[in-house]
Amino acid sequence: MVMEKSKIKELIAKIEKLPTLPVVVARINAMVQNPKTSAREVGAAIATDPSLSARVLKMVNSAYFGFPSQISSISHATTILGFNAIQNLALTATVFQLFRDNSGDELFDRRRFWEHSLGVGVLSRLLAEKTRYADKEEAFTAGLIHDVGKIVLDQFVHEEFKAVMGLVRANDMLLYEAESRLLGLNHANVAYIVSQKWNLPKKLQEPLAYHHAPGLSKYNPQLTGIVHLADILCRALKIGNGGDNKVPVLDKAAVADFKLNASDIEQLKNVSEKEIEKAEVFLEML
Amino acid sequence: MSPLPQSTPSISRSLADIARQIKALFDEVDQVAREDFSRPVSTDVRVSGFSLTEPLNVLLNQVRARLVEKAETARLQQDALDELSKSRDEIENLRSLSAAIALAQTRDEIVELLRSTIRDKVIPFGGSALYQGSEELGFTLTGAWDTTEADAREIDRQKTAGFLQWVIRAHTTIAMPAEGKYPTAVYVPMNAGNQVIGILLLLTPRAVDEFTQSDQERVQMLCSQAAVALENARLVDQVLQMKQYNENILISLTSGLLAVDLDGRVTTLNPSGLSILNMAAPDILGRQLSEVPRLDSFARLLSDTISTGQDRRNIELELNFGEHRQILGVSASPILADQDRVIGALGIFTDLTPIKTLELQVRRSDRLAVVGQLAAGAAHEIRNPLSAIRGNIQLLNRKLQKLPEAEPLLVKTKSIIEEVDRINRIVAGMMDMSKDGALQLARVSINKVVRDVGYIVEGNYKEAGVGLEFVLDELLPDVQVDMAEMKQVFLNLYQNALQAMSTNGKLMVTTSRTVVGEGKDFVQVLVADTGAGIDEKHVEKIFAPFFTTKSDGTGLGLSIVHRIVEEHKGRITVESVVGKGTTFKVLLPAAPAGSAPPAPQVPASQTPAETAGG
Repeated sequence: MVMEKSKIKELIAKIEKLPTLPVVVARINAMVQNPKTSAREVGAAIATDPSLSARVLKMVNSAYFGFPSQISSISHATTILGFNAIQNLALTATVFQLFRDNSGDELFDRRRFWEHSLGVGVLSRLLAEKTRYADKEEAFTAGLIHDVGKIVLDQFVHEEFKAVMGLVRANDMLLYEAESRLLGLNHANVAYIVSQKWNLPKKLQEPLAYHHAPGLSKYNPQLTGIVHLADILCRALKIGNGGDNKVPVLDKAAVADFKLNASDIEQLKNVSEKEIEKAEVFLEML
Repeated sequence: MSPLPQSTPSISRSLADIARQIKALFDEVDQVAREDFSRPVSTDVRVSGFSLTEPLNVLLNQVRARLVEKAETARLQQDALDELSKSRDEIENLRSLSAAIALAQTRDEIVELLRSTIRDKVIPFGGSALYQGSEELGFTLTGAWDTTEADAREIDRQKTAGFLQWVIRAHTTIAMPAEGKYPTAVYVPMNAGNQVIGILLLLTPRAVDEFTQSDQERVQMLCSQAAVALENARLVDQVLQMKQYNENILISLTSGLLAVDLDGRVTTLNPSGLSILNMAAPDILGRQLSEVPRLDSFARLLSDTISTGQDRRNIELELNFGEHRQILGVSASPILADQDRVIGALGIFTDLTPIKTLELQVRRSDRLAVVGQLAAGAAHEIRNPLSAIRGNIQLLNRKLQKLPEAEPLLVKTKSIIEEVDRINRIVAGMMDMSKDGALQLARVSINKVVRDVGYIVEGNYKEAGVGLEFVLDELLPDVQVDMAEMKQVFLNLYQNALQAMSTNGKLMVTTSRTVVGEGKDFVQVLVADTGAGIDEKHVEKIFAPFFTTKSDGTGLGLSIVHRIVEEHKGRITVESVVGKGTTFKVLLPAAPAGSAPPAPQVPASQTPAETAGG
């Protein structure tokens, strides 16, 4: 059943009721785009939201980063971990907050969904390291929120999404195929809308929008490919549940440049469990 | 009410200008507003496209908003231009640093360039330090500039705390608060490719908060540039050291080493090689080996090695040029690149000529010894029948002497006895030749020997009308010789000389002291005649057994002489000019102190026949 254009427009309107990101995060995004921003300015910006400030500081001082001494202020954290890292931390802390609500029915298990998101975040970070992608933390964030579209659908278009989940259960099909069929758009499209609404950094937009079709990525194909591969690996390793039980087809061209072989994948598999544990501890702080 | 300006002032790009113009405009507008606030003004006055029919306060706000907007745009444009020119500056910094580094020769120059560029163009700093090393082997402090004690302590503290390690793992620049003279420490990893080869530490008065991404990126870029240059300098150093080491090896070799490329051109020849071949480097290096005189056999060996790709071991090469003959022992092998591609050949060689000469001498001595053995055996067998013959002839002679009519037969029997005696002498001579070892040495002056023998032949010389002269050095050191044998030597020489000379010839015997080799004392005896001389082609062979030019000669005399002299650890050589004469030179080692007792006096009347026929 193909959706009529007007119905799709209705859906989008509902989705756009999504709250904006806290001003702080938007401001930080803008600041980090500007290479002339000083660490102090970043610190001052985050300080306007004391609870975010506290959370970010807790994260930077955690064993996850393993810095050898106490970091006492956000501005210090910025010059040590880097502007991008702080930006990603702020974003992660905020998005996680927004979707902490664990309501959800048995059809869409929020807990297992976060396990899957966490897994993809961790694997993206590991893959970023292996393929020498410049910003590992950025990869982590991208992986973590790649499926934010599903949360949005569940929250703001709940009835329709329930129908989609039902279809997935009945036919044991891929979620995004069911979404397209019933809604006329899939969670990747939704994620794109969200990333625009939130004015996310461009580098993060493409992995959200194209993780199921990495070939369409133009601006940041490497990160998109990483998240694409991480998503498939997590499904193959049955880490959490992304909403369906199937493994999508791997886009070989997208990952050809990574030059990974079987032993690399094996190695990733071996460290992923421990790394996911570490990340869980990390996210507990939120 | 004064009219508003007719035309709008054009907004220039300079912020200051804008500000001035805005202020001027507001002043004008305010002035107008003060005069009559609410009354609408005539419609034909326009300011920046706004009609003045609206109440002035509203108008003011609108104008203000528009001007602010324009100012903002202008400011943004100015910012953009500033950015552009800053970028150009940064690119220029990088370019000039690159150019300067390309000229820098040493690590110190590169580091100094880096520091001054950073200090002048990116981040001002007071103290600085450099760590170098690798991730596997660790990093050590290799330089520190303008750091105080307090700084040094702080740096140490930070290193121990693990900040260096963090930077190495993270590969990013960090700025940390520091205690000491300067409030901030900046650590910049120096990345050459994917490897961190060093960390630059800057102690700066700038507050940690002041740092921007741009600062970090710029300083990182400059350090990476310098890192690549440092890495290259280090590799060049390594290569030079290896090259030097290889050259040292070549120079130290005692064997010669010669290498050619695929075209047969000489690429390497070490100093030992040059000296063995007795050549100067410019005459052979870089030239085709086949074109160098006398080395064509060497060239052929090496080109064979190249075409077959096989080693050739222990080959003897004869190099001839003119009279000189040199024998080299060569082992040749192909030079391989990548395990199987032949790019040349090399030969390691030593000079075998002295060894070869020694071989010849040894063979000659051996030959003589063998002959001696044969002779001894034969001689022994002949002795007995000879003795029988002589005895019988003696008897026959005695009987015939009693018969007067047998007188003419006496000549014949005398002749037979003489011939038998001669055979006896030969046999005795041959037996002497086999006499090895057991010399009965006595310490004596060679002068005595040569004089005694002179007495023996005096008569013959006088008869032949040939002179005999002795020039003897009375201060000669003694020699240790077997008297009988040594007398035989000189007897032989004197007799040969006599045979070679005709009437009015002269034999001169000269003795003197001389030094041979590394300072060994020797006694020299020269026996020089004015006879017919020896043909050039025979000279080499005269000491060989059975060599004779005489119709009745045995050919053994000189070979015995040679053996006896060698037995006494002496040397005998000959020089001769056909038609002029021959000189024999006998060298005997001087007796060391405290050796055999002086020889007993031998009466001068002992005849040669008795001495030889024994």
